[in-house]
Amino acid sequence: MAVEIRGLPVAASAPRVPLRRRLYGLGSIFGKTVRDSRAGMLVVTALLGVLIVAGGITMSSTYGTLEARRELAAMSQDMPPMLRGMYGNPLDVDTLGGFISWHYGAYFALLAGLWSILALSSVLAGEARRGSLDFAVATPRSRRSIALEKVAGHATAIGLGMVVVAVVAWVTGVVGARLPGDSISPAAAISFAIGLGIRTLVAGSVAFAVAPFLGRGAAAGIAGALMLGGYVIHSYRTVVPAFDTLADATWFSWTADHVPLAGSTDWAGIGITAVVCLVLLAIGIEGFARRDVGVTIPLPVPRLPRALLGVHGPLGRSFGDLLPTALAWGVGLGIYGVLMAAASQSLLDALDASPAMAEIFRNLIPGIDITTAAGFLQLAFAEIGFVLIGLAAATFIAGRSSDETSGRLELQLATPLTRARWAVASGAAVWMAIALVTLLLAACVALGVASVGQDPMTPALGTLVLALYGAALAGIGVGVAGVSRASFAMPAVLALTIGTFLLDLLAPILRLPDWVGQLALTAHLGEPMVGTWDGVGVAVCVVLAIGGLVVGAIGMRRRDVGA
Amino acid sequence: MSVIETEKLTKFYGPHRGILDVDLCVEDGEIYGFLGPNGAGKTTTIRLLLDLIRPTSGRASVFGIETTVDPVAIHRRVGYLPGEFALFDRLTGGETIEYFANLRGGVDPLYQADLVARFDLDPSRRFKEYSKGNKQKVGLVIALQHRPDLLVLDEPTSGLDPLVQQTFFALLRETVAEGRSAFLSSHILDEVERTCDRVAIVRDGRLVAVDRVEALRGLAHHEVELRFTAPVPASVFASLPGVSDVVAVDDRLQLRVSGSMAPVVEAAAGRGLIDFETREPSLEQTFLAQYGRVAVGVANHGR
Repeated sequence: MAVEIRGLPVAASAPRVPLRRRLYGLGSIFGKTVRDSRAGMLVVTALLGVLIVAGGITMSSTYGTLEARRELAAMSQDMPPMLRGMYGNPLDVDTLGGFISWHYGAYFALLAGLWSILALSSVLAGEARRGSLDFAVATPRSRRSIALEKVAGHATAIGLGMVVVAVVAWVTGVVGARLPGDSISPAAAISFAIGLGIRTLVAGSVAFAVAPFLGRGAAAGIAGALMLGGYVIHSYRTVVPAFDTLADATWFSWTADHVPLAGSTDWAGIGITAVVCLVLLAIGIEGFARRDVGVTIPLPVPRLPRALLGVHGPLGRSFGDLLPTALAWGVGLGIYGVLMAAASQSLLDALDASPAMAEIFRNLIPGIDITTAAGFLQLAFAEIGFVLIGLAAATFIAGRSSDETSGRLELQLATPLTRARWAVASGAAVWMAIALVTLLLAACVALGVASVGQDPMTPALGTLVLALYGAALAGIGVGVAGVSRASFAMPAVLALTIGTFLLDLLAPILRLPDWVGQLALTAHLGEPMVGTWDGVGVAVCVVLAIGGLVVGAIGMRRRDVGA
Repeated sequence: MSVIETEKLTKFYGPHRGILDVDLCVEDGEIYGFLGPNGAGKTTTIRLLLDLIRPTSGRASVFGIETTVDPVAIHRRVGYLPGEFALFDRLTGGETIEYFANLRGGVDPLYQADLVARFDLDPSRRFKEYSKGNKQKVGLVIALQHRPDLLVLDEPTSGLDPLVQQTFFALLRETVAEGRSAFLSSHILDEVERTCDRVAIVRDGRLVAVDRVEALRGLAHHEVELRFTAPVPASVFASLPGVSDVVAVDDRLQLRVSGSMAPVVEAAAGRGLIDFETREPSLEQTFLAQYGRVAVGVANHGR
C-alpha cells in the first residue's frame, strides 16, 4: 500500500521580540532581570541619594564657615584609631566631597553591597530552589547564556543606580558648595560612582560564585559575613593588630585610596577589584553551567538539640524555626558589641592625652560622659544598634510570615489550633528571638566593658532597650500581618526601621521642627548605655509590642488565611 | 446524616470568581469525589469547608457546625491534606508528624507508626530532602494519624507511585469500613471510579453535576474509529447492540459503543478492517455529555 508522506506543516514564524522588551521586560532573561531589579534599585539608589544630599546639607549648614571647617578637619585628624575606624580615613574632610566620603563612605558600600548580595545570591540559586529555573533551563538556551544574562541584568541595574548617584553627587556639589573646593566635578562624580559600583558588585559576586555550590542561603550568609567582616577588619586594623595582615585581603583595603570626591583616585585598586569581580562571576557562571541545577552541597551545620526544635506546640515550633537566625544575629551583634566595648579603651587613652579633644566631645555630646566605656557605647553603638535590631526584627517577622505565605499555616489551622492562638504564639516567638539576640549582645558588651576594667552592668542592662525597641517593631509587624496580609509585615518593619534611622539622622541636619524629630521612637529611649532610661519610650514600646499582638490576633480571626 | 452541607456557598476574591451558589451534601460514611478542571473552584470549596477562607455569601456546615462559627470543633474531627503544601524544612518527616500529632493533643503512636510503615516513609530525613512523593506521604500521615471522622483530601495521590497509591486506597477503604467519611478532589477517573460512592463536578465555580458512581459506570462508553479497505455502510454497525452515533466518512466509521466491544470487532473483521482506534472519554466529559453544563442542585441527582 502506498502511503503519501507529507512534511509537517511549517508554523508561521513568530514575530521578533521588540528590542525594547528584550532590554527591559519579559522579552529576554536579561530584560526580566533588569525588570525584577527595579524595586531594589530604586530603594538603594534613593537611600544613597538621601545620604549624599544629607552630607551636602550638613556641610553647607553646620560647617558652612572656614572656622568650622578647620575645627572639623582638626577633629577628624585627632580622632583616635577607634573612631577613625568607624568613619574611615579622613581625606580633605574640610571639603564637601571629602566630608561625604568620610562620613558616609561605609554606609554607601555596605548598603549597596547588601543589595547586590541579596540579588545575586537568589538570581539563580533562589530560582533553582523554587523550581522556576527548571523552566528557563528547559528553553533552547545554554546555561552559560542564562547565567550571563542574569549577571548582566543585575550589573545593568547597578549601573543605572550609579548613574543616578553620580548625578546626585554632582548636583549636591553644585548646589551645596559654600567654600572653595566644595564643588564636585562631573569627572569626580563619575569616578565615585564607578568605584562604588565595583564595590557593590564585588560583594554580590562572592554570593554568585558560591551559590551554585552551597545554595542561596549559605551564599548570602558567606558573602554577607565576608563583606561585614572585611569592613570591620579593614576599619579596625590599626586598633586590633591581628586584623592588620588580614585587612589586605579585603576589597575595602584595595579600594581605600579611591576617594574621588576628595580628589584622590586609585584606578589600580578599583581595577584589581573589578578583576576579582569578573573571576568570581565567571566561577558562578561555570558552576551553574557544570553542576546539577538546584543540587547543592549540604554544609555540615550541627543540628539543634531536639528539645529546642519545638514540636510540642505553636510557640515552641515558631521559636524553634527562628532559633538559628536568632543565634546568628546574636553572635554577629555580640562580636560587634564586644569589639566596640573593648576598643573603647583607645578613645579613653586619647581623651586622657588630649584635654582639647575631650572638650570637643563634651560640646558635641552634652550630657554623656565620653570618658567612660558606657558613654562611648552610647555614642558609637546605640544608634547603629537600633538599626541592627530593627533589621533582625524584620527577618524574624519574615520568618513568621513564611508560615502563612508558604502554606504551612493552612495545615496547622486544620488542627484544633485557633487562629488567635497561633497569632499570639508566633508573635511571642518573635519576641523570644529578639530577647535571645539582645541577651547574647548584653553578655558580649558586658565582657568587652569588663575587659577594660569598667562597670559592665550599666551598659549591659542598657542594651536591653534594644529588645524593647525590637519587640515594639515586631508588634507592629504582627499587627500589620493580622489586619492586612502576611507579606506586608516584613516590609512594614523594614520601612519603620529605616524611616526611624533616617528621621534621627536627617531631622537635625535639615533643621526640621522639633516635633518631626520626636516622631522617631528612638528619640524617646534616653541614653540607656549610661543608665538614663526614658519611661515614656519604654511604655510606648510595651504598648506597641503587646497592642500589636492583640491587633494581629483579632485581625487573623477576621480575614482569610493566605490572603 | 450529612457530614458536609453547603447552601448557595459563594466566594469572590475581590472581583475574581471563586465559587458560585454551590450546594453540596456529603452523607455520613460515604466517599465523595469532587471533580473539575483547573481553576474550577475545588480548592476554594475545600478551604471554605475548613474556614481557612470565609464565604462571600451562603453557608457551609461540617458535622452540623457552621464553619465560621466553631471551626476548631470541626478541625478536631477532620483530617486535611492540601493540594499544595510546604512544611518545616529543618524538621525531619518524623518530627513534622509528631508536631501535628501534638497539635491535636496526641495520637495513637501504634497507628501512627503503622501509617509510616505502610507508606514506606523514612521519617529520619529532613523534610526539605524529601522527593515530592515522600512529602505527599508525610501530608497523608498527618491527615490520617488521628483517625478523623472526615478526611478532606485535595488531590491525594498527586506524586505517589502506583504501589503507594494502592496503599492509600486501602487506607481509604478501611476508613469507610469504620464508618468514617471522605471528601476528595481528583482529576483521575480511575481513582474516583474505584473509591468514590458519589461524584460531583464543578466548572467555572458552579456545581454542574452530582451523581452516584454506579451511574457513571452505566454511562461509560468508548468512542471508536474504524478504517476499512473500502467504504462500509453505517447501517451494518448501527444495528449492533450497544452501538450508537454511527458516522461514515469515506473508508472510516466513527461510532460510540457502550458495553461489550465484541460485536463491533466481529462485524469489522469480516469487512477488510485495517485500523481500529478506541478512546475512553474522561469522567468529566462523560458527566458533561450526560448532564450538560447547567448548574444543578444536589437534590436533583444521586441522593
